[in-house]
Amino acid sequence: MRLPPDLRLALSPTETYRQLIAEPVRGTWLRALERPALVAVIIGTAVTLSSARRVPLGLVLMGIVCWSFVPLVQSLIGLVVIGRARGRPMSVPRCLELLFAGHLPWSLWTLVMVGLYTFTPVPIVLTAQVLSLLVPAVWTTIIVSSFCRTALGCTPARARMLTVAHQAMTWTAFFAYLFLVSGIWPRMLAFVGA
Amino acid sequence: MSVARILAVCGLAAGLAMGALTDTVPPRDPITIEGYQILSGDFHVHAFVGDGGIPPWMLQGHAPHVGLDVIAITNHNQTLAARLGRAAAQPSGTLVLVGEEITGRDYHLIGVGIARPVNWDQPARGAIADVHAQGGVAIAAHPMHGFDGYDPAALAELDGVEAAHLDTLSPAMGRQFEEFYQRTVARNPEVAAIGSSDFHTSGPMGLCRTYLFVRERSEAGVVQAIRDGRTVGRCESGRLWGRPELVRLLEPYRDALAPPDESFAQTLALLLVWLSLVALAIVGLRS
Repeated sequence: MRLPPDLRLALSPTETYRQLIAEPVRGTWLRALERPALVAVIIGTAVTLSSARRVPLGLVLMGIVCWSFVPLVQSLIGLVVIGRARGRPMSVPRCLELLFAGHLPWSLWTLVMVGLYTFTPVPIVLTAQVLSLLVPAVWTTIIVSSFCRTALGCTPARARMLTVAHQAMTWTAFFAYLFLVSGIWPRMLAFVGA
Repeated sequence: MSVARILAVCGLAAGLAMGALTDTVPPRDPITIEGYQILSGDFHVHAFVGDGGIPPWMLQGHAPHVGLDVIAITNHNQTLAARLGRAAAQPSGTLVLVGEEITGRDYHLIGVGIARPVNWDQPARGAIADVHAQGGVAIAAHPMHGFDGYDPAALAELDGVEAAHLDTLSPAMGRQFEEFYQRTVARNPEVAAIGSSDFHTSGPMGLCRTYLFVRERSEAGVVQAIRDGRTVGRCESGRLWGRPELVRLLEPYRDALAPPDESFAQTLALLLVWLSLVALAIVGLRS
């Protein structure tokens, strides 16, 4: 049985990217938006499910709209990285589509956390939750690196640089959001004794 | 479209349909004790545009499903979400109060019934005074170690203490909450015992809650009840915190006031939606 492309890509990114870029696909913006839209559906529905423990359509749709800022920010970061690879063999929309094909680690992490919170009585220790972030973080770094090498046609050194830039922008956006909304700043000041 | 993809999409649609069909507001009879209406409240609710999962304008509609009559939206160091939630609230529905979790260096303080953000960069006593100056009430939020930066004078000024909180489910944390609550009661016997879910993205809202003895079902009535200490806090264990005479009055209604249970059909709908999302994430949209 042939595995779905997103799963194959997560398990064997370089080989799968090679197969995907060899496919005769004309990248369009409409097609490029499909995967970010799916990410918005997954995050918005999962967060609503976990928060409300109800899934009425209105609440779910509002959750999807609100949390669509996550794939939106990811798309902007992706476009910056794709824009920096001048010799890429494919169009920008096709590159964006292929970048989002590597979203499985983060989608699965989100769903596993939501599943644990919603369906098990096991309290998740914050430290364990933070440490678990390492799995999708490392996994995604490997996928993005393969994306830069194969889909963007970069040299190994350039691919490393773009991967680092992608991850730096992603984590900066993540921590900026965290700092803005969760009141961590005063705790940090207390921690450093300021 | 592959079979797996069709199954995932159909499963999601079926789960959402089932979730909509089983989405009912549990019936509750109003309870009156010695001339006071008993309201159920949650005064520590985070919303989206913050670190909460649900947008503030949807919280009023959600509250009756978890048996709440009043909520305060309390994002960290801002009142924007709370004001949005309050502006969108229907007058006949659940009471939505503007609040804030004033997040200082060594304390978190809930201000309820305020109009604008309170400066967090000051000692707890100053923040409490600012909340009072706006006509609100000040509640010590999850006052375990690290968040208990209240000097004796500040303890005496507090209107309420989160005695029942999700974190009290851990015995070690529970002891810290208990110790802080008793320390505050020793200085301020009328302090309100508050139960709060500290609701973010892993519900349910109202898991821990506050029962209020109110003269009138209004924001002023709720704030006055907290100010006068006419409250009893409750958490998942069912234990009631508060002044012994109020706890005694509520005891006969313990079951009637308990948070509603999730039905089997609702759990099944959630499970179906979750499994479908996992399948969709794996199979993707295209072959």
